[in-house]
Amino acid sequence: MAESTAVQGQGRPETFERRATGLVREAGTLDVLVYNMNFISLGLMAALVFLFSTAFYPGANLYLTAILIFLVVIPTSLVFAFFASAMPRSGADYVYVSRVLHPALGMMSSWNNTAWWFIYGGVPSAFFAQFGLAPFFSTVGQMAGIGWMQSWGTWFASNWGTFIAGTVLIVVLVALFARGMRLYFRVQNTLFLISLVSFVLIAGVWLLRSRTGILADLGQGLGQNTLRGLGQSAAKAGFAGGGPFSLKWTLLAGTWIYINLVFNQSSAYIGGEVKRASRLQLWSMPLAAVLATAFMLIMLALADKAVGLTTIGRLAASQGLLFTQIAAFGTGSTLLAFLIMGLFIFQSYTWLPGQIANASRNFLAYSIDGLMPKALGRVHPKYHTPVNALMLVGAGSIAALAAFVWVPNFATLVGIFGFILGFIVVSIAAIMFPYRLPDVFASSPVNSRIGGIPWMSVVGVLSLVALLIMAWAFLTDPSAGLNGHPGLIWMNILIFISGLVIYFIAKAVQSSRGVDVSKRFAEIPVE
Amino acid sequence: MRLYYASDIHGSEKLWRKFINAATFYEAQVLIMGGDLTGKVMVPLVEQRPGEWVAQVFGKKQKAKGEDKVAELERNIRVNGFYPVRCDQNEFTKLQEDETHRDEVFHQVMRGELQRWLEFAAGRLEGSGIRCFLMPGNDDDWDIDDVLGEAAPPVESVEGRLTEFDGVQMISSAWANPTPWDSPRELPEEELLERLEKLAAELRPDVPAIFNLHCPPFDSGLDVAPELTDDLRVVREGGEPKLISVGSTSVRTLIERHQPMLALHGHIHESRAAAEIGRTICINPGSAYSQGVLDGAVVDIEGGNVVSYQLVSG
Repeated sequence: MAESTAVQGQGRPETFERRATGLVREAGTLDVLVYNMNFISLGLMAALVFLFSTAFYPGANLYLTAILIFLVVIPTSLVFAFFASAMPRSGADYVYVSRVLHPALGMMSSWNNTAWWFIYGGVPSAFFAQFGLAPFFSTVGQMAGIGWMQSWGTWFASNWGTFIAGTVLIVVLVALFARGMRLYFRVQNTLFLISLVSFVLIAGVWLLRSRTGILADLGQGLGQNTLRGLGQSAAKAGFAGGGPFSLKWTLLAGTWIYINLVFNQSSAYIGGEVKRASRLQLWSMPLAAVLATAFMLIMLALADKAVGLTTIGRLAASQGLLFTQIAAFGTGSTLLAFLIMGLFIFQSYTWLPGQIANASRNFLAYSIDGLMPKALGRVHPKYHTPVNALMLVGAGSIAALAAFVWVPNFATLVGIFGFILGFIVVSIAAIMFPYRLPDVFASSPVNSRIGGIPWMSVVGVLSLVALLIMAWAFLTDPSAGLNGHPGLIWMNILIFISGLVIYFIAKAVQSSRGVDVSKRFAEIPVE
Repeated sequence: MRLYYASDIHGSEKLWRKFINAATFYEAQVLIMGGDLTGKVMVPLVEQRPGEWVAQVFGKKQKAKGEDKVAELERNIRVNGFYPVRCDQNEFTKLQEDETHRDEVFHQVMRGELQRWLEFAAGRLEGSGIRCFLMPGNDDDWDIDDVLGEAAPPVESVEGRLTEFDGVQMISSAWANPTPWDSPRELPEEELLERLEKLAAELRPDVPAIFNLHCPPFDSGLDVAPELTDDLRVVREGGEPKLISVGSTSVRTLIERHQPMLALHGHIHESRAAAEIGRTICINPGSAYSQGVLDGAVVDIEGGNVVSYQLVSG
């Protein structure tokens, strides 16, 4: 006889379970939230906003910017959250689009993400030197009067310094991932928590010190002449902040927030490993966006109170100073500066690990599904990690790092347009889901309707509108790298459709072996 | 010959129907179900007033009034892999309080539902030329074996024996090495190897072989699962689940010794993968039964060799 147990429901047993083996889903409440927060990357979001949004967007109200971008991100976030609840499988758009629209479109959407993940491997690995190591050595060296530190700072800021530091970081991460994710997470979770102290110190200094005191210390650190002639030098460097309010520039300034915040849905990619996906995914994605937006608003308010956003923008435009450097100089304390700058190093590359992990995970999936060569699916016999896929992603990231360092047109925001194209396909799939797969939709936890229209379709439409607004913003923003560069726009479009080409080549190859890859995610009829 | 293999559907009627329909969908001539057929949860529908029923599904109270509505509710419960049981308030109280009675009802329901499944399969596959092989898994209680044994052709129970079809031979075993759940069909490794070797002794050396073994081989990538504590909590290291190999060393030894062309496995739902052990292609398509998705493998065999395989989710 099996042992059965009564399961408590609202104060009394309502169902009966027998003792049996079961699927153990791995990621719990906190794990999913942390995963999404890591992909948003609070440190990089703050760094980019203070470096660019404060400086080059005339009439932008950055508080309104943060709120607008939150509102624009939420519908897309809900699309992924609804899908993750209805189809809790790892792979996100690869699964959703394949099943709702067509496997070829699923591959196109997924490949687009994979390609950009490893192309974007170049950006955060460059940030490691540019936002982490170089400012640390320069700032602390300058405050402490240590010559060799300042020289190191200059070297890390150079092209070769950035490339070598970034390459070492990529190689170390690939090696850690090849030994298994546990080792990496053990290290990274600790470093991430420690690095948060950097924000606490910045917030403490900006909250507790007077503006006069901070400016006096800033002047001492940077040189009084720098502050005195700041208006002029900033204008010469292209500073365009301040002036009468402009809704257009308020929205455009949000491109630097959007590139971080829109990845609050990243737990959809590990959907198969999430406990109680129907509830957890639904709230963890929007909550990550709420927390990140609240963080950004608090940092803006503190910076405004401490130094003024205009001063920060002018320092960013004329000196290329990060908010961490402004805060560090403003402390007047070498020890505090050492801690702020040193701990922020671990925030400077936080996009990178997730990108490497997700891209290699996708290569493994393509290989298992017959869309890529078998060799990419080879798993290390001892560590069970996709070693070949990891090495490919590592090599691609190093090539992208070289492009980011030496090709001037390859700007930070260039690829987000490609991600938006992918999200548009997912939003169309969300609109169609209740009609294309009515049975799956009806039995899903997100089958509610408003006025007879499925909520799923409603959020799909809202997401589509939001994405079109952001596509316009990235094509219009002069700092995003796409405006005036049709070649880069075409690169985005070509990468986007290259997944279709890969799919049809793989389909032809597999078809000659008698395998129909279009059946990979096709729904078997129930009746 | 093309075969379709799936496993670990754990009582999901939706997945059973998909499994039977998979033959036509993937154009397969042979269907193989690798075990763990029966469900884990029984949902009582309590009659509160004549013709009015209440059930708790996924934590939500659901009401049904009239035969049509209650039948619809039962269908929805079955789709999710649960067993619906109609009862009155007195019977419900007895189910809550009397463990022996509850177990008896559970078994009765499991057998009844399985019987219905077999009738559906026989009706759907009769005259199609498709053969359908079934076996229990380590999670299935003993009393379903006689229900499976009574399956009408072309559905056939293959547990613990050698089967021949389309020029290949297949041995099948539901048994697993010990698990933290102490399920019905578990054996220590030495005894398991002895049992499997006895089965393999029936193989003819000149005929290509398939091993249909519920439990995957140890350290094959088909057997990776989170390590669990004695109270079934996931062991974490550095905030991440600690993943370990939990497959059977006996199964691995058997495959290494006999080198069949193909080994089909289930059991570890989260370890969907394919691997090679020597000349043997080993496949575990995994299981996502709770999501209404049937994970399976389509395998093409020609001239005693596996010419291609594909993991599918349908």
